[in-house]
Amino acid sequence: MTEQELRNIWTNASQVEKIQVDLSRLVIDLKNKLDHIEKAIRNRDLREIIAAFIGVPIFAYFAYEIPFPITRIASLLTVVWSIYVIYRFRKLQKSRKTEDLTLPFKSQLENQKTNMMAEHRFLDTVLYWYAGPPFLLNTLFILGLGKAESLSDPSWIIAHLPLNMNEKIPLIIGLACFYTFIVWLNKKAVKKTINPLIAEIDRIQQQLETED
Amino acid sequence: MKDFEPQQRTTTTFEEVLEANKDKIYRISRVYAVAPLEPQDLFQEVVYQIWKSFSTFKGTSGVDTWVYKIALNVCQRSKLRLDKGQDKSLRLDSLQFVPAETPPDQNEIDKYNALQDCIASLNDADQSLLVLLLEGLPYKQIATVTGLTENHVAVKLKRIRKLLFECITPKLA
Repeated sequence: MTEQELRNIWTNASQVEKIQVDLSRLVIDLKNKLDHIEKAIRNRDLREIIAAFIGVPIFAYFAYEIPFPITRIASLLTVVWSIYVIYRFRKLQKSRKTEDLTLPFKSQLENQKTNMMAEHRFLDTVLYWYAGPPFLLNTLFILGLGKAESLSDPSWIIAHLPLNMNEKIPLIIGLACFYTFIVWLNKKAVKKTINPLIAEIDRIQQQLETED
Repeated sequence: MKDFEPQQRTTTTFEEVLEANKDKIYRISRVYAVAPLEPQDLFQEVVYQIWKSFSTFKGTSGVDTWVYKIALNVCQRSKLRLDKGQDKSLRLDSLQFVPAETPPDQNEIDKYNALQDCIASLNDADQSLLVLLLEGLPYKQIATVTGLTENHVAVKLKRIRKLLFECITPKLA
């Protein structure tokens, strides 16, 4: 068996199927695919921003309407945090290296690793910027709520808020469980998805670098 | 091997590039497609990426080299399952795969299967180098596609050749 014979076997492999290209429709098909993918990306970005923006008017309204000072401060800080979350999401999107599949294989692997490392940092630190701050602020918000009797003209919203400890404690425990779950989900994604991918890219890079 | 030289860039259309390179893209797709992804899906993804990047092709290397880079990168991404957006519902109907009128005989199929098994037994980096070698690329072009130095390619391919022959000779004996 010679190398040329192996090349012949290899080259003949494409004779199994005949690829028919309808050139008149191909570019239309490709444009449709591009539109479909871009639309999906636009919708995803929009969903993230809308979700983060929902907190801004709600907590701004609370800060305006609820008279208790600590709750008011917690509401204002929650508005600031919501804006910060939007900023973090946008920053991650911008920091992603543009996919350039025309780069050499080795450079492409480096790009993929850079993106995966950014994703790793983003997800692995959710406790400090995504779960921890709102939990503290929500706790402050709840604990800052006073007695309705102390208000001369309590608004309708006061009636719907937890004003005594019997209501506050279970709510804080519920929030703690919720945010712990969010952190756990993100840590799980890092462990199950991101870390194996980084390890796989490392492995291929190592294979490429090794002088045999 | 037919290759478009850089100076031909201005007159080369996407359709011409596809027509000249579709067989090699299909061969590479066949090696890298892992279930549930089929070679046809991978082929379509490579074609899509070539079309998407075509306007940015500067002609600093031949179109042939450029196509190999994209094909290899797309296939490798799919192997790492980085393409979360790969959706089979987005198949391009304008690309049809029709069984050959004169299909290869069983002996040819067995030989190809043996070769494919041997390629699969190599590590990922070696697989990509071997695929380019089987495509008949010179070391210089393999170095451009992979980003390795020519010397490094030569050293690696010497060992890969040995592994390949050790693997395939008993299978085809």
